[in-house]
Amino acid sequence: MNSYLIGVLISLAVYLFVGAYIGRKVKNLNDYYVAGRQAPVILIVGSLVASFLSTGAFLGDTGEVYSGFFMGILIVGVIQASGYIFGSNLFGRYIRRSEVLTIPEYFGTRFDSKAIRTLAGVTTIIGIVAYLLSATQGITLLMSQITGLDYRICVIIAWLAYTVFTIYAGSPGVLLTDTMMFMVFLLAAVIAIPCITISAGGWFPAIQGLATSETVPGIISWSGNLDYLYPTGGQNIMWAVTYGIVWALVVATSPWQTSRYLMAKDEHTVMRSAVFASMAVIIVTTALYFSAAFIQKIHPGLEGQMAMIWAAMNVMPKAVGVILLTGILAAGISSGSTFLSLVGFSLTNDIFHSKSHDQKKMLAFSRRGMLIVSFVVLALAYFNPPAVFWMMYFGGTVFACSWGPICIASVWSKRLTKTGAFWGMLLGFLGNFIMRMYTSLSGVTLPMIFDSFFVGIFLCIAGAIVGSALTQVTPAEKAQREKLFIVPECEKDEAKMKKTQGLYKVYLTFGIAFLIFLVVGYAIPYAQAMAAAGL
Amino acid sequence: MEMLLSILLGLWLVFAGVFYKVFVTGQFKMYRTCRQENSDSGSDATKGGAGA
Repeated sequence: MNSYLIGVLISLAVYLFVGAYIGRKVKNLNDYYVAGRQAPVILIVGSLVASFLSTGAFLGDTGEVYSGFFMGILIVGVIQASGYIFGSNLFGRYIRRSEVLTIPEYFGTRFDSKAIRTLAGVTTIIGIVAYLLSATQGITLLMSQITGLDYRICVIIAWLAYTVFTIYAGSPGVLLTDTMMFMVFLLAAVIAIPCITISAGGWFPAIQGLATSETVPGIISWSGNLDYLYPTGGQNIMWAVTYGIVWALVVATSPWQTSRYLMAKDEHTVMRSAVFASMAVIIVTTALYFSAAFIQKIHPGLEGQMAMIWAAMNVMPKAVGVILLTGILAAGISSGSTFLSLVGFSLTNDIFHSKSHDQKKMLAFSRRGMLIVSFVVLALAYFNPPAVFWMMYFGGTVFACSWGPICIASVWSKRLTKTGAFWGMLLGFLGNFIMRMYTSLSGVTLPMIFDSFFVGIFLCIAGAIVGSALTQVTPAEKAQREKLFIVPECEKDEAKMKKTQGLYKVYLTFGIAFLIFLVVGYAIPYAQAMAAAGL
Repeated sequence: MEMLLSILLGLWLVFAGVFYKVFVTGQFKMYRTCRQENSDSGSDATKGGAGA
């Protein structure tokens, strides 16, 4: 048994043990779904980041950077991370105030409508199952690379890795294990980059070498490698900014992010967590993107998504490589556990309901529901039908299209009615789903304006406007919206307000430091290398 | 262009920080006003926030 596998197995055992220990403390639905609404900043930050960054970031995004798209992916990474700041202030704190158990329940309560609650529940299940499949296959890919075991055996190990403790321990287990896993992959990203940089010949020589790279021309230029995505730099930047906004909307409104705020102990925790989560995502992703570019200089010719795995096993000291691989695995498992819990919660809280009012029976009903969902995901991942691939790409953007505008308007619009919200969500979902399915299955590349995101969000906004114009806001809807603006007395503590307010200084300082880092560590050495090469 | 994009990315984060400051400061100002009105009228909870 190799040391990488031993490290991975030890980490899995620790997560299982912690999940089992925490699960014993779950007594009722409030504990199981929202961790008793008592989570402090560290747990919310841990879960926000761990559920957002999955194997997609560690293997997929780094693969795109390695293949020649550094600047595009960096732009997406920075814009998406700012979604925490906008989302927590415009939406997150208000859903915390609504005291619901799930986000679909929030929609049902806010619009006084069972139909929209069910629709939100169904979109949650479809979108998140797709994303869960993606996370499961990422973990499987990693496991099979490390162990050399058959794909199907690795699927079962991957499935077991997040299913057991999630079903038993619910949200408290997910929060704690997410935070532990966040620490592991934060450490992995931070300690991996010096090793990779040294192997690439040092920071500035590596940047200068990549600037004039002949194997992947333009890999770290503003336009990226023009053979990779679009043939012009302008189109590549347009794509990056668009998808940065899409993923900022996902961060701001998707159920796997906003549901973390339901567990926060107060609204100050929501806002502070958003600031720290945003900075943590930028630190981790930026470290990964530079690492992936440097790996291209060290060893060209790899398959993109194998770059980080190859570096962990070939460039670093064994102990650091083990930490990096367990970190990547942790990123996948933490997302898997959050996704599974959300799908299970939606199934048992928003679509089917337990007839019993006994807390123990309702808890057992929720756990059974989650177990059934987990078996469906296992079957899909195990048999791996061809349709799984396009479903994975669909998982993230569907929430930006169908939920994004409705989430924000549910708080800030006095005119949005239940009919407008319902049709907006449904049309946004269908527009995204159908366009994504058409382009993925037919292989047709449409102009960017017909991207599934644009079609979906246009239909969502149109549906919301037309539906609201044809109907009136009912007194119940009006009352529910007004309730969102009733500030609990505990939120008005002066000391807490000062602390929360003061965090803007931390974020501003971080923004300026990031600017200086990019200019000094990337733009200037890049320009010097180009000037020296006479380009 | 690389320099410009580096600066723009940094400035985007600065903009997000400014948004946070303006938004949170505005909200908390209302909280304080509501708290003051509350203590004057003896009520338990009051509305607050831009959309109320």
